[in-house]
Amino acid sequence: MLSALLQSAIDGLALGAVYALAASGLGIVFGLFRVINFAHTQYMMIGAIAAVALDAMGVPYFIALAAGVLVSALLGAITERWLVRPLIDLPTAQVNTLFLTLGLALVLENGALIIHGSQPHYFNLPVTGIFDVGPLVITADRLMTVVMAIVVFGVLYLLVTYSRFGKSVLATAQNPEAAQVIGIPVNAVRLVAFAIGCGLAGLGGVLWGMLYSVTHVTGAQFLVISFVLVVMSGPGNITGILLCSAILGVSENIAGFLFDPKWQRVLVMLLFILVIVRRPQGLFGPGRFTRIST
Amino acid sequence: MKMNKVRLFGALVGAVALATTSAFAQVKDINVALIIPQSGPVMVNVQPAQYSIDMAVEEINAKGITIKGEKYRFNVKAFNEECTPNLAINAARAALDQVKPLHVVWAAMCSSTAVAIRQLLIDAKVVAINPTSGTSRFVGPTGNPYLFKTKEEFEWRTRDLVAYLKGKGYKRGAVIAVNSDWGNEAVKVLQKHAAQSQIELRVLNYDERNEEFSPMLLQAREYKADFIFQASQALDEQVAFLRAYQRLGIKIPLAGESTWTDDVPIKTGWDVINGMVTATAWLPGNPRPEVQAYVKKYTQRFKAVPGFNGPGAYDMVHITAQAFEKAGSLDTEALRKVLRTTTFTNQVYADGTIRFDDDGQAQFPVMVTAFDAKTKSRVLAK
Repeated sequence: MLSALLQSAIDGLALGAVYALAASGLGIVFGLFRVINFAHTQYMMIGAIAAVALDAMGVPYFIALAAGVLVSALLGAITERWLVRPLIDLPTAQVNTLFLTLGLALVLENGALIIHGSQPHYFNLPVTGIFDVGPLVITADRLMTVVMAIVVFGVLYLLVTYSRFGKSVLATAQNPEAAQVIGIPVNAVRLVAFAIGCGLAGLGGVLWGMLYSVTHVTGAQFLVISFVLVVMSGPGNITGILLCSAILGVSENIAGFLFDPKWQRVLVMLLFILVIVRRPQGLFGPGRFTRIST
Repeated sequence: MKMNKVRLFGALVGAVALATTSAFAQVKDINVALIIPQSGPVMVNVQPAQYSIDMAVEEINAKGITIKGEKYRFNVKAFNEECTPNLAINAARAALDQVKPLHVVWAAMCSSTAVAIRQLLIDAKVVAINPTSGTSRFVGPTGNPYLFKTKEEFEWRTRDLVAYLKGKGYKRGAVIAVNSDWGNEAVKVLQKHAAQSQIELRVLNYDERNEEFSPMLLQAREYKADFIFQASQALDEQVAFLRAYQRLGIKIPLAGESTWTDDVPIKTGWDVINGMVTATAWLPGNPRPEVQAYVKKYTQRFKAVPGFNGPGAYDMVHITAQAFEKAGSLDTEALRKVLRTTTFTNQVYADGTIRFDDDGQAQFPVMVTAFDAKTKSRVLAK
């Protein structure tokens, strides 16, 4: 019983790692733009489809992964420059962008269906191997997913904390008008940050594809959970997203082991509602990607 | 002289044009409304059906359907229902309104949409054939003479599978089933037959598109199940299930719904699925030439093996063509009478013949099959 419980928890960590990558970009975009981007998780799907197509052509996994991330980032940059930016200064920007991204999500999903077909696609596993730790089984692909998520979040943390660009992003998130005044190229910063957020989603999609499969609905299944994570962890709190993702991934799997799995999402949503009611600021409070009231 | 040549050329062009026009004019249309999903997540299951319908329509139109010496062809207009009841109702209404004259409907991929549009089709008194939905609530009871279903009932498959499992001496099973109308109906029927056979079940329902099966498989192991029954319609779920089964080193024998077909081991390898049993009417390894020709053509054209919805959909088109020819008319009443009273040739599904009962449900045998790693095919289970 205990070993099965631990096994569920360990498996949940890989799930949490993908959740974290999916939600972090959403958190960054929300922090910077106040835009609720319904298309965000579609960048996961686009990145994963690009990578799996390359993988099928014999391109090594890690190059395909990099290309997938790049495609997602590029698509994100295009979205920011030509779809979001023209609307962002309008008084109705939040509503306009909400519906715009909802429409974009449907376009991307059905576009992928038309071009890529409906059948699931699979990567040739880049790493194989099973580590037996007592009665527990840890596979190399899941371990790699968790390690990559931690490394990426570490790099993100260093970038935001120590680089000039990171400080510009924070300044833009916290007060775009003031950032503009002190000479920060707000539009350029937003463009790059949007692209990074989408690139992170793409990375999540490629890793998910390695663990499971890639279809045109790969992105859609992460939409709700990504929003839950952004709100649950605290607005603009990227570290909070990482921690909440791990908690959620592990809890989902443990709930799936202890109860009928149809209760998994119900329990997660109840947890989410409880957090919202008891801690409206999120479990970890507002992060640095949060606008400061002026 | 030059003028004569021009006249001659003109006359030739005119004659060819006239001949071509009259040749085309001889082929008349049988208007078909195809109400199935064209988008959305369910496309993973729909595409094999759509491909198979396209293939069959092309084959039949190439030959033509002969009715009283005249040549006809299927003119198919598709309406998107996305496997969503309210969209299906809209699609059915649009089809009934836009396709005139409407000669036949091919409809309803999913159980929920089949049930949703059923009354509309009955009220419209249009012959409708459902090739893929498993629900018993589409056709019947007697008194709804316009609806037909070529897919077998859950009852038949489950009855035979449970009898097989009982014969193996199994006493308790874990059921890992998708939480959908289809999955719930599969479980309900399984529970009924398992209870009759004194087999105890633990049912684990998961949300659609779930690909994380470790917790459920671990739960099945803790439950000390003699077998695990998996009910999923989605290839990605099935592959993820098997991968988790393999990763966790679980050795409990597997059984599955008829939706487990040969496309799964192509993705996972045959060793992991070896011995898994399913009750089905579709066996791609069936040596009948029609079956082998269909599998070969489908595989070559679409670079995939036909999924569980393909063969039935392919047969539905052929049965419709046969029915119109036997009816000798486009008249709805003549068509439905022929469908009720005639034995048809099934091209690829089941054992080669099909007959509808008084409820409009096609009758044919199912078989319990096992995935066999040695022959890389499904064989009759021993």
